[in-house]
Amino acid sequence: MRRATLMLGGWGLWVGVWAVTLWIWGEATVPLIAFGSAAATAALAAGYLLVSAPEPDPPRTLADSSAAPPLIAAGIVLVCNGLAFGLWLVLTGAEVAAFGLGLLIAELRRERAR
Amino acid sequence: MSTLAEPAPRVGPLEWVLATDHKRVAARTFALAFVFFIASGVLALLMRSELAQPGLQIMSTDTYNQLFTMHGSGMVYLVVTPLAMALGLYFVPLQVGAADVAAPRLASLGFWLYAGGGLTMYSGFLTAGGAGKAGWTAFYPLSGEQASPGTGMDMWIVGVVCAVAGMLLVAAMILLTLIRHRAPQMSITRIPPFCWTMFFTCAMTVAAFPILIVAMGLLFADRHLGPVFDTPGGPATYQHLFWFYGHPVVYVMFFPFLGVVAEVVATFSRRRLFGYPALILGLFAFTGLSMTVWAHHMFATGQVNNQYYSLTSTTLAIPAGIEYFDVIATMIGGVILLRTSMLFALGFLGLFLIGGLTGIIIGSPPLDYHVHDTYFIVAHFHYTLFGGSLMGGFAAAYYWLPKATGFLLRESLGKLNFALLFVGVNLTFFPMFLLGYDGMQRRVADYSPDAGLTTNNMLATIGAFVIALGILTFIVNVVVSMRRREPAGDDPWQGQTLEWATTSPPPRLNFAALPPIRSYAPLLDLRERRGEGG
Amino acid sequence: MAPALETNRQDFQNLFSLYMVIGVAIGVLVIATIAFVVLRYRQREGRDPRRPETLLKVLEGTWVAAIAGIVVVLLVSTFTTEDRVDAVSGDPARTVRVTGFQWGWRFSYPGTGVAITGNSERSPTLVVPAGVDVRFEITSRDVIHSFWVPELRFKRDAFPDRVSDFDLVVDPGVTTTGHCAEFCGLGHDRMDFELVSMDPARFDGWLRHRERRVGATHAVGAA
Repeated sequence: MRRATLMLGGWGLWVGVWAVTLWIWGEATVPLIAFGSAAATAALAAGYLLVSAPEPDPPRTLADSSAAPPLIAAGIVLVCNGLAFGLWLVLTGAEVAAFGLGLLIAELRRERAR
Repeated sequence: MSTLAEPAPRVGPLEWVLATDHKRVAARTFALAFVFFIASGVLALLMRSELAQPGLQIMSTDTYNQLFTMHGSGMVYLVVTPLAMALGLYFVPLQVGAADVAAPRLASLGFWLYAGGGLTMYSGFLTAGGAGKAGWTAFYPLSGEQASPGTGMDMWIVGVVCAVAGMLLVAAMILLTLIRHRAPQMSITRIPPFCWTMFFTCAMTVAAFPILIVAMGLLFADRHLGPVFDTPGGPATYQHLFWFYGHPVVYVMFFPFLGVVAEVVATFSRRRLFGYPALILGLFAFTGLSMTVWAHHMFATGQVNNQYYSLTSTTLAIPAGIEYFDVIATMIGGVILLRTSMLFALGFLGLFLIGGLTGIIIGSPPLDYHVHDTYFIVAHFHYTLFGGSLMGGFAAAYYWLPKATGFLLRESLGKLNFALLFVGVNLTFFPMFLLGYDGMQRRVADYSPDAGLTTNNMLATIGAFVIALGILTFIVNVVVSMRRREPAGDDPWQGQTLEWATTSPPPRLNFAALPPIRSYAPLLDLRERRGEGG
Repeated sequence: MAPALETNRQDFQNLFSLYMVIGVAIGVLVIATIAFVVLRYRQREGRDPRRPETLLKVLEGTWVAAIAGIVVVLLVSTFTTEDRVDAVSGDPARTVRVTGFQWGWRFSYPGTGVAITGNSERSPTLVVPAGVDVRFEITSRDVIHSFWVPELRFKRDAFPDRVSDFDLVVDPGVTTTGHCAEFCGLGHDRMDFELVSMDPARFDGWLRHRERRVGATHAVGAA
């Protein structure tokens, strides 16, 4: 049994207890759904960790710098702004984000090749 | 790619911007959060200037509404949350003996999303209708298309989404680092207190922030695609979604600074933190309860089960009492050194206490019926956020900046900095309790000259400028200390945790070698064994 | 009608005093402890490095138990007070319908045709009978507003999608100002109203007088 499973499971249980308390007390559906799904998500994550492989991480390669994150972020922010300003900005943003993703893939492949 | 023990390479501005090293990403987050802090603080000074006297003197009501919206949302989304995350991003890997965070590129992406989001929010000022002006909570229907038309409001919504999503990513990386990348000897009971506070902070972030993104998405859809919240029960549903994020975020902005204060108090008392297990269990209970209290913001709506939320909210006093006891007990029998960061830590304890105790008052529905949405609430959360979080933030700055920069800050200027802020906070925010109780509602540009509110408003305005002077002192201190550097050395304070076992600033991969880790205060263990008088 | 109805203001003051006494006591205790500890242990080298761990653990247990006890006391008094404050009588002496809008209020008295409307330029006056149960039915025409009378220590939000009910008992001889407490846009800070309480007999006379005027003109503004 992994510790993370225990912790997330305990967390889900704790939130679940409060969700049930709320349900017994009689409450509108929305908070109950928000609450219940938080508990369920924690439980699901705990379950995933339980079945996923527990072996330690392989040695990591750590990049010193990468231009991909700022490009992807700029793309996403532009797309979001495009929702307010029009399709042209959505497309521009998507292009920038795609470029960033391409860069990221290239970087990762180069790293793996070493 | 770096190898161990390689000194940090000197980098140009482009490299600094693109760096994925958790320390550089955190430094960028700090710097940007500080810029937004100054910007949102200037908005507050403008507001206080307007409120100094009854009547409208320097701005229109419309401008005022934009200012308080941007002040509140700026401080919450762009300043205090990122500041908390930046502390975690910088010091969690150092404290647990990791070379970097999990997935550094994602942490960097988080920073850039935050930067883009903040820029978008503030750019609203450049649009014809001005920036968002529906308050930091953007309650529906006021935030709907009909009551708040215009691009500024749209930009506010997408800006919030980007900024919050960015911080969510950073939090997830910190959480993963804590779970998967601790030094082999650091078992779960040897995690330092600050890291524990970050653990719970990030757990809350991961649980709560997505809900806000959903709420903002639905709000945007409501404005442009068709009714979402415009149904019976819709406005209350928006509030539920908002506060399901909005209350946990209060503790996201509190826990990390509590962790800092615990470390600072232990270090400057030359003692081990008292009651480690109780503190952690207290935080666990706190975190669980934090997800159950949100509707205490909605007592006056008459649409929630007030007694349930009053029960959970008031129960918070118990874990809070444990945290306070443990921190104070740490000092007992110690050798207390009143360095600047210790002063800020003590200031945190005193001021947050006032915020916390008034929090118990407003956790009682019949009392909240009177003071809700008044300056009483404004005073309460400024005592927790300024008196708490930011005092803790300054404690962290004086404690950890020497580690990050390699030079010490000036003590004399630091003490002046503390004195000005301590006086300023009380002068600004204490009168607000009286203002709210006496009948001044929140979010007003003007008030009646006959309501007996003038004196307290004037006091609060004077206090705000004292705070500004305090912040200025901090900037001067950083500049002076940077000009004539006083080297910090690896461990200027006799610290207890691993970050003090490496150089200042730490190398790219943080550690050349790790000391043995036998408790949550490994360096204190070493000193005790060498008989240096613990 | 029950004699000597407790007003919301009295309920509030009793509960508030309890919270204040306990809050101030704890605040003073904690701050005094911090001050004492800091002064007592301030930078004196060569002290015995141990602290009384066992004693402190016992103290911590006591402290937590004490807080838990206080929490119970506070919750019990909150719940009993709230039951009284939130109670809606089956037989209110008078019903007032409150409608908030950007930016003003409309107060109407169902069954009489009397309605008083005012806006941010000219605030309306709400007249209620004193010492009896008055039922308020509150709603909004556009965004969320909040009906707040500081003197009565009470507020309730006005939602556009529903009508909320609450009862208030107002002391005789009250003349005071109420505000909108929920931010509602440009006119929020001027969305005030006056509240006047009259003894029931005078109130009935006032209402009959207004009712007679309704036929001819639509009443706007206060009497």
